[in-house]
Amino acid sequence: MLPAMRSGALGRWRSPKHLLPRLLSSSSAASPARPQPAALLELPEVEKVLRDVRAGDVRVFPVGEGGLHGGACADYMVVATGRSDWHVRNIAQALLYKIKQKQKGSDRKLMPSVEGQQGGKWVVIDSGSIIIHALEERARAYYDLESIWSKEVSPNTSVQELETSLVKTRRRNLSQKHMKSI
Amino acid sequence: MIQPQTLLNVADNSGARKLMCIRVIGAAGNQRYARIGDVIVAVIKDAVPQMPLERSEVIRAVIVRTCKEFKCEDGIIIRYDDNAAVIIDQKGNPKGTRVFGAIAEELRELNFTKIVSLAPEVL
Repeated sequence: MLPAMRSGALGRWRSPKHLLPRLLSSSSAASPARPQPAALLELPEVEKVLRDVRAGDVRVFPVGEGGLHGGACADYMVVATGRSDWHVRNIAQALLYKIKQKQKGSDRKLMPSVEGQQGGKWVVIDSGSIIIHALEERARAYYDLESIWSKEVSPNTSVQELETSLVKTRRRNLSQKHMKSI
Repeated sequence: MIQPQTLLNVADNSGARKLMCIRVIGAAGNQRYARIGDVIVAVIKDAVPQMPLERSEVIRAVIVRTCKEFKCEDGIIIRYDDNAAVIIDQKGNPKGTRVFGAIAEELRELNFTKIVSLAPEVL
């Protein structure tokens, strides 16, 4: 059961890379010790927790298939603003508490990786398929994360640019001198 | 393989252009080289004018690309064309707001999710 769940969750992350060794080995020993992303948090729960702690300006970016990083990173990016360092840390604490409550009674609790908990300017909770960013107001304006993820990545233009850069063009002879006839 | 005196490119828009490693954080006793995901202390050798960072300033940086090949858990070997780093502060927040070029996915496991989420491309 556990390996199956893990492989399903990992497959969504890095399907082409992780699938091959998994099929070859067919044992759970080779699976890396990562948290199960599917079981940790769901999107409605995240939104409810963020509403309860009064995080401002919550925005969800679906970056799954064909989105940011080609869907290799995560399915959803959630951005929320806190009024102060204290509030930002509280948002992270509330989400971690929710994850803990959800796994109550299970043998081992899996916690997501948290970054920037001491600082309070920018706290990231990486729960696998959903990455939650809690930023202070000034930090949010500084980093301007929305413009990265809301930007439409169109593969056609990049291919065209690549073609134009790869095609070799011969320089025109602009010199006024006449060519010597051989 | 980054060691003191190695020159690195900067892969963000913080305003520095060239760094020189002067210390690898965590290297003690026998000599150890820094690889992808290691934090180094570096000095700015070249900077863009009219930017907050200046020449000969001492900063911290995370290595994101190395010429020395880097072996992933799943057997893939990644080797870049340059040595590059992203400037961070003492608390781990990136100094710049955008990261350029490809970034290895292993940085996310090493708790540099902020840099990964700013990057345009993840391998």
